[in-house]
Amino acid sequence: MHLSPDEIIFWQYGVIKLNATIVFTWVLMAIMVLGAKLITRKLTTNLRRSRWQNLLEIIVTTIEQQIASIGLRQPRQYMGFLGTLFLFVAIANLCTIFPGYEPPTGSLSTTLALALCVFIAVPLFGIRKNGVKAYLASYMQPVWMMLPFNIISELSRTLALAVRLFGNIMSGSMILAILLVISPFVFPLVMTALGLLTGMVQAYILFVLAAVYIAAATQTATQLNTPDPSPVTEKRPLPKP
Amino acid sequence: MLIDWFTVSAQIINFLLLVWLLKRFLYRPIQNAIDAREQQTAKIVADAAALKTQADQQLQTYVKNNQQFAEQRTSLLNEATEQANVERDKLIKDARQTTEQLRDSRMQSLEQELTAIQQDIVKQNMDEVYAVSHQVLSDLADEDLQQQMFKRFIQRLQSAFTGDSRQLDAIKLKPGSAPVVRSTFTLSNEQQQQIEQLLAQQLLSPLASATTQTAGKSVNEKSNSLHLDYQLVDELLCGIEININGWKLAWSGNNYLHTLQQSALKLSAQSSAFSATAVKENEKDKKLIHEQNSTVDGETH
Repeated sequence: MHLSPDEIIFWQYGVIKLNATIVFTWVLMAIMVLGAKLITRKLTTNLRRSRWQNLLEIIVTTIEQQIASIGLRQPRQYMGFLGTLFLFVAIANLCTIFPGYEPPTGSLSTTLALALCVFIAVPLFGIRKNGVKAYLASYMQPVWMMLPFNIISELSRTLALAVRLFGNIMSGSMILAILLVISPFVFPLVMTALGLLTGMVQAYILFVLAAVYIAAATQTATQLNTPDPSPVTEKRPLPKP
Repeated sequence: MLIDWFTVSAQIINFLLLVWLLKRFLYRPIQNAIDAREQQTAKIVADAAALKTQADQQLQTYVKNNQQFAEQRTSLLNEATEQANVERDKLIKDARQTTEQLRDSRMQSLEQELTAIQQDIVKQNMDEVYAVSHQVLSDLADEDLQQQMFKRFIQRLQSAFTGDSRQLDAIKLKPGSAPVVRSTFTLSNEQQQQIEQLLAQQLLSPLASATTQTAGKSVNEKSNSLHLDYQLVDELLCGIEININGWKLAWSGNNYLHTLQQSALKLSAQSSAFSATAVKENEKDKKLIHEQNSTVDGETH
C-alpha cells in the first residue's frame, strides 16, 4: 500500500521520473482535452444541439454562475483557471471508481502544486485588476500592523488548501483499501460512493476557496470597506471547508 | 517525504498546460456557441417584441376602427330611426287626412243622398197631395163650380184689362191667330158670347184701323166680334184659361195646385240647404276638436 501515488514510479532518470501521479494526470488531461475537442468539433449555434454539447454548456455555464455568485464580476476572465481547477480535481476524484486508478489528487505533490498555482494566481489577478500598489496596499488593511498576519494568512491558507485536499482524498483511498481487506463486497461499495461524494465536495471546496481568494484580491481597498452596491448575482454563503 | 518537488513542478506545468488546452478546446468554443445562440435568441426576442408591438398597434387600430364602426352604426341607426319616425308620422298624417277626406266625402254624399231622398219624399208627397187634390177637385167639379169659376175668370179678365194698362199693351192680336180658350167643361153659348164681347170691347177698338188694311183675317170686322178657339182640357181642374198670342190668363184648380207644389218644393230645397249648412258647420267643429286633440297628443308624446 502506498500513501501517495508518487511512490509508484514507472520510469526514472535521475531526478526525472514518471510516477503514477504524473502518468494519471496525463491520462486525465488527454481524456479531458480529447473529449472537449471531440465534442466541440460539431458545435451548433442554433436551438437544436447534441446532448454532449448540452452537457458541456451546462458545466461551463454552471461554473460561470458559481464564479459570478462568489463576487467576480467578469467570470470569463477567471473561467480558465478556476474552471480547470474544479474540473481537474472533480474528474480526478470521480475516476476512483475505476480499479487500478490512483487519483493524482491523492498526492500531496499534486495538491501542493495546485495550491501553489492558486498562491501565484491570486496576486496575479489582483495586480492585473488593481495594480501592484493597490494590491500590496491590501496587505496592510485595515491597519499596517496587519501586514505580517496577512502574509502568514496567505501562506497558511495555501498550505491548508494543499493539505485539505490531499488529506481527504488520501484518507478516502486508504479507508477504502483497508475496508477491502477486512470486509469486501458491500461496505467498500458504500465507501466508494461516499468517496465520490467527498471528492466532488473537495473539488467544489477548492474551487470556491480559490475563487474567494481571487475575489478578495481583485477588490480594492475602497471596495473592501464599502459594500458592493450592485452585485451581479445573489451571493451565497461560503461553504465551510 | 510526501512531497516530491519534481512532481510538484511537473504537476504545475501539467495544470497550466491543461488550463491553456481547456481554454482552447473547451471554454472558448462553448462560450462562443452560447454567445451566438444568445444573440440569435436576442434577435428572435427582439423580432418577437417588434411583432408584438406591431400586433399591438394593429390591435389598437382594429379597436379604434371598431369603435368608429360602432359609432357610425349607431349614428346611422339613429338617423334611420328618426327618418322612419318622420315617415311614419307623415304616413299616419296622410292616412288621417285621407280618412278625413273620405269620411267627409262620404258624409257629403250621404248628406246629398239624404237630401235627395228627402226631396224625393217631399216631391212624392207633394205629387201625392197634388194628385189627391187633383182627384178631389176633379170629383167635386160640376156645373155650379164651373159657373163660379167662370165668374171668377171674367172678373180677372176684366181686372187685367182695366187694372193694369201695361198688360193691355202687351196683348196684341196677330192676324191669322185666334185666341185659344181652354176649359174643363164645355162653355155655354152665353159664356162664349160674354168672353167674346169682353175681348172685343178691349181688343178690337184699337185694332179697328189696322184691320181695314188686312183682309182674310180671323177677326170679323163686320160683326165686330172675335173668333175664339175653344178647347176642352181635363188637366185644368174645372178652370178656364185664355191664351192670346202668348199672353195667358188662367184661373183653375190646377193652377193653384201647381203654385202650391212649387212653393212646397222651394221650401223643401231651402230646408235641405239649411240642414246641409248645419251639417258642414258640425263637421268643421268636429275637425277643429280633432286637430286640437292631435296637437295635445303630439306634445305629450
